[in-house]
Amino acid sequence: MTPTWAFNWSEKDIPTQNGVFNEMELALISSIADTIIPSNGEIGALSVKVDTFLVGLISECYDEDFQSDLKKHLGTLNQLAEKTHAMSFNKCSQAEREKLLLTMHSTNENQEAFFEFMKSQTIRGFETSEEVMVDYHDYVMMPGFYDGDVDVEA
Amino acid sequence: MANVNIKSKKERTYDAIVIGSGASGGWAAKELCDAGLKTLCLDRGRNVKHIEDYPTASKAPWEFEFRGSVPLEKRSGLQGGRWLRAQTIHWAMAEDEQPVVYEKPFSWFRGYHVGGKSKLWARQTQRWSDYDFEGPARDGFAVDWPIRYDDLAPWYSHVEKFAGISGEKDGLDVLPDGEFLPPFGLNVVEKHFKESLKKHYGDDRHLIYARVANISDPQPIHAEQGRGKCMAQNQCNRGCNLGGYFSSNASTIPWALRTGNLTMRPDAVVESVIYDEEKGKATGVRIIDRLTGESIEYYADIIFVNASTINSNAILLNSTSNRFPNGLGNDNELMGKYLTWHNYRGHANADVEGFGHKKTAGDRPTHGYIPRFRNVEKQETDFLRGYAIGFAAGRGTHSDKSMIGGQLRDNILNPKLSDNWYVATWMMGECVPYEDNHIRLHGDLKDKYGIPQIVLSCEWKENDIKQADDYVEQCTEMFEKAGYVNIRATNRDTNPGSDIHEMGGIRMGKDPKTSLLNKWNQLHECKNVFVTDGACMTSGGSQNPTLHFMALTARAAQHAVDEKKKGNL
Repeated sequence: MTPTWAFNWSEKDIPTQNGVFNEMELALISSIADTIIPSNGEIGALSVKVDTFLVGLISECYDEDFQSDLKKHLGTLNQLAEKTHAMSFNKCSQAEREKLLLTMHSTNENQEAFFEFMKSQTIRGFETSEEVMVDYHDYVMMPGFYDGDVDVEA
Repeated sequence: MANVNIKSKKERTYDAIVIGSGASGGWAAKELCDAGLKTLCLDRGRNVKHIEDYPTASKAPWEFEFRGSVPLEKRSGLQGGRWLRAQTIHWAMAEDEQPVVYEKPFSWFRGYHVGGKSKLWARQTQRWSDYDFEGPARDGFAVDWPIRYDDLAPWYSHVEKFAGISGEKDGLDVLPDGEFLPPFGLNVVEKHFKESLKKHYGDDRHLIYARVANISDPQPIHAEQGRGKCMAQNQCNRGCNLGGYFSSNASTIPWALRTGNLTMRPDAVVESVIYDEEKGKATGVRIIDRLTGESIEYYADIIFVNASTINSNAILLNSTSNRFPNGLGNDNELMGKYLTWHNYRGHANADVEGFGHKKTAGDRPTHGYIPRFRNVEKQETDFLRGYAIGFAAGRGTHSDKSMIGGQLRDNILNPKLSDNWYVATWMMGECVPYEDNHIRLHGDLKDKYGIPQIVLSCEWKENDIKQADDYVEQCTEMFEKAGYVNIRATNRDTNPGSDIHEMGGIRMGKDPKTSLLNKWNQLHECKNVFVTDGACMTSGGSQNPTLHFMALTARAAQHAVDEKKKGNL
């Protein structure tokens, strides 16, 4: 028999890996990154682990005030989703999620700052990923030459 | 016990002591060791070994867990706060290391580790000409330099060949040619501007390839140092595993160590130079061990002070004795005064149309350069001296990132070449040294080592502001004549010191009444002490000054060796 205390818990009680975000918040961060830069089947924010970058960045490089403010906005976003679509943000469709984020953006200055932060850091994580830099942006670590007069192919 | 003390003192005695291991200190150590002198080189920071202490040198952008941001835990206690970057955080200084009293706004950048700012410099290596040396005498400021171009030319060559300078022979008398490795080259828009200057200003203004201490084509002397070709990674300030750019750590220090004559002593904060009244000369250096707090004395007949301009001033001002109550060699009480730096107030950029069919490939460690063209032959403006201009053109890419979703992804994955090229320029002006721009020691406040705190009192003068206004006007005109559009040129009230070219305070000169150092960089009043870093500068020129310090250092070290042989030190 499984003891009763084994069922006496909720999602909130689960400690998170980094001690900053709970499971729901982690899911929201992933979903926001996925909304800002969705996959085209080959590449997107999640396939290059932008969510891992965002969680690490916010957990390690920002102070508690910033984190709790950000968590508050995550909650607001999710409430907006529940209110509008009767489901969590991460369960909504891409189009619905985009619209929810843009609604946040135009609500007030604080929410706009939250939106801009999540957007700019998602772009940063995506653009500095190995896949985007090497496969799409021709990154070469050691060019070893300079040519200041190259014809642009028509 | 007496025997132990004698033995201990002997172990702490060298032929020469060099204070500081940056660009000039490294050169002093190399030259003295090459001449067979047992040399102790002190640095107040931690040791930095070539390659093994460059933790980020070979990392790609995605290998930084936070892509360059620094965790709060790692940045706590360090100067720089949220501006610190993971790529270069190993050079950051502890906040409590050396508090400074800034009487007026000033930005003082310090490199407290072995190698000093030679790890972080812009590597620009333009020679002075006699138009620079003769400035003070012609225009009636500071005092006359005790040397001229011909005195220094062979030493420029000596330093350039060893360091490895990529450059182009331009045949200009305002900026003499040196010993050059091949250039990485100017780009098509820079060449366009070069032609435009020729067309509109004749022989008065030139755009040239900026000479830079990066090895474009390694010679045997570089292989002997264990240094290779610069691969144009454009991340020199992390430290370079290839030794592609010149730094003390990659070049002069390991070279000196291989002679067997160098003892490198990191974590040694110099408190003062010891003066012996009976012998009438300096006999050593007193340090505080940064880690243990212990006070230790080292002894030598030759002392080179290369602690960086402001610290060299502070150390000598703190080296007091009955003979020198105001600081070592400071009978005329001019030490610390006439501090100068470079005028970087001016910035300008513009867009260049008509080159949509051209782009660049690869990278390079330098850019273009316009040597000084104001007041060269004679005084012709309402301000003294002039400015050189750094000049870079390029063609960027852009992606429209105004939206979110699939379009944003596709735009990022497919960046477009910008329609226009850009040009960016920055001013590098010669500031005239003024007596009231100075460094002194605070009467009461001390740092955690018990050393008096430094007071800095420096400000822009009218001459600097007029000079920057002229740069704005001239840059705008040059851009207009070249047909460039969307011109933005500003004279910004940035803090003095932001250029990281502080100079003077222990100036060279002919007369002991009006200068501190003679033409060999010896203190007039204490000949076995040589000051060859930026502190020795009588005037500032408009060139990035490090090459000048290195050449002066090599020249002074040779003189020290000669004088020691003659028994004069």
